[in-house]
Amino acid sequence: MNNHDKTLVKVENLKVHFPVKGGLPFTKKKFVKAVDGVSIEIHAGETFGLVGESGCGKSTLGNAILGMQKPTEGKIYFKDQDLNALPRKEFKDLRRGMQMIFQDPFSSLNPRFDVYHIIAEPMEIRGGMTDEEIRARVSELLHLVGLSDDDMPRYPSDFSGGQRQRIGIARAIALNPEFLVCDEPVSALDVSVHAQILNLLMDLQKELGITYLFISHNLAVVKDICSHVAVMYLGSMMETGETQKIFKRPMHPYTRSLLSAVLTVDVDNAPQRIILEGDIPSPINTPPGCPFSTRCPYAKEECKKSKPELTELEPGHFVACHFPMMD
Amino acid sequence: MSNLDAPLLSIKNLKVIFPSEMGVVRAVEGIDLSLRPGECAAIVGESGCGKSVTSQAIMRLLNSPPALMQAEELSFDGHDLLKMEENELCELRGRDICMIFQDALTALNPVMTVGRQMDEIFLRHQKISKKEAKAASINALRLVGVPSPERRYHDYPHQLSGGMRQRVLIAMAFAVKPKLIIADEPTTALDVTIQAQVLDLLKKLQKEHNTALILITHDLSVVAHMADTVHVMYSGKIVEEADLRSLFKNPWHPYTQGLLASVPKLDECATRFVQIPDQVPNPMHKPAGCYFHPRCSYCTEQCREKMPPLVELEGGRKVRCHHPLK
Repeated sequence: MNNHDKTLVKVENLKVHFPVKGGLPFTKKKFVKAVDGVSIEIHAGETFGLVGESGCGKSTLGNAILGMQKPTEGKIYFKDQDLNALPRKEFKDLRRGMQMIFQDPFSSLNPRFDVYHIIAEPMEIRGGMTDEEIRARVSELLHLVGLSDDDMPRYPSDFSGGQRQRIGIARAIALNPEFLVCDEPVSALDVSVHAQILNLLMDLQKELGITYLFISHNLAVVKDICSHVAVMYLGSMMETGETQKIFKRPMHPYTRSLLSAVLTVDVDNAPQRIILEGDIPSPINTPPGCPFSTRCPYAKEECKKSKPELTELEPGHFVACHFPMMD
Repeated sequence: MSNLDAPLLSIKNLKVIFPSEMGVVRAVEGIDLSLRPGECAAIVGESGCGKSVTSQAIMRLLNSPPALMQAEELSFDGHDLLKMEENELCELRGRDICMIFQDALTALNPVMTVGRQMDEIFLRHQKISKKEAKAASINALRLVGVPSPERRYHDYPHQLSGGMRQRVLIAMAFAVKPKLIIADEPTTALDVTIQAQVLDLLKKLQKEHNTALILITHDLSVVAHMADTVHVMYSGKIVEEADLRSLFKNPWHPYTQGLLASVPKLDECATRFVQIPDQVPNPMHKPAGCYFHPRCSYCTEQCREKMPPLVELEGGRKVRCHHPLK
């Protein structure tokens, strides 16, 4: 890719806090700290992986980047423009270049719209196209995602999960976006269909040069398609850097346990799994020190007191841990 | 059971169809399955291959109409499930055969506390007082690793996390020590880390209580750590049947091979994901010949014309293919 080093999306110290309803008057208001100080940089043409368990704030981060969620603090830049400082009109123009693919293809398509209207809607809203042009474009998009013209009058209920996700992808790329947020695009689908959708996304990237933010909880999926990865836990970044480096030598205990939790089809040598105790703590009462200290098998006194900063331990590999695993 | 080798569950030629105005959906087309006490059998296949319908047919949970089921034999622990009356079946379900559903949030009653739902099982199937039932429920919650079970007993399902809810379902299934548990995609709705926890728990309890388990899933990596025998289903028919080790080492059916290859792996570097092209055929318009032939890369003229029989080859393995990949 020619412009691989150009930064397309930049997130600076982003915080998204949601106030908790209820509580007694005159007591301190509680907040859900969904995203708590995250900075990422996504280069044009690359796929950036965002990994973590449910409730770690990865979807909120994706939503905030698209402007669907106002940040409490911090800035988001798309093509060097501060999204939250732009006037509404200009924001709308810029937002056209960023689209989203949703997790659940069963609830993200309007059941009362046929395929043609689902895909044509973004173009109709933007305007400036005649009906013939829109029809031609819908047909082109359908072919691009592996469906045919015959599918235009059919409804979402006529399609299988994998095909619905293809329709969702066609809708997302209808306006030629430069940046796509893929929020767990395959986790609602059968394992056998995963590969089809992932290959389609990779082909589209090659053809159209789209930049992806790929949100997932499965590291095995992220490994092959992303050039950079960030591992999130409880609203904070635990480890980030080039994919190869992180997979070769994960240094954060959380990344290691995530990696070991990936199930394999190797019946002979089952890997030594590090099974984490318990669940992710509530984001309302985050532990004072390292967010992971309550479940970390190596946690020491210090971890419970102070939150470790993200530090560069080798070139292009950042880890937030007091005692990174260097072996 | 006096005889350990006698099958706990025996199914012969089970067929389920759904007649509709548009045509007949043949969901399950003749399935044989036999399960010994303490054994874990996995049924693997994509959505729409009939694996969930099979499990519901075993529990006799399919409503008729619309479903029509037929079998040469469907016996469980000496009972003929086909001849049993509904009230006898109600006694059996929950006491001897239990089910763990995929989506714990819809499987639990949202307006009842977790504790009361669990008490119901004990009160229904064991002659004990309410107080004893509560103690038994709390104990069952403790067994599956729910922290502070006395407090959780009073919680509603929405107050628990996804992994915790799945644990509650497992606790309910094992509550009265059934002989057979059917787990329908028990971990599909969970994150990878929680999935590992829940599968380990399920395996531990299954071994401790010597319960027979039917594991229904689309993910072969889940099967690899649980099952003794594997039945691969495609479009209502079993296409391959073998013990875990030989199936994973050398799959003989091209479909099994494709399923195995499509599991993303951590230790291999791939630039493309291996995919099975196309999708499961519409159950109303299944292709002629072998159902898998439109997606099979080894397909020949013979496959287009004739459905291969499920033949037993060496080592007790069965495969439904004209050209098994040996």
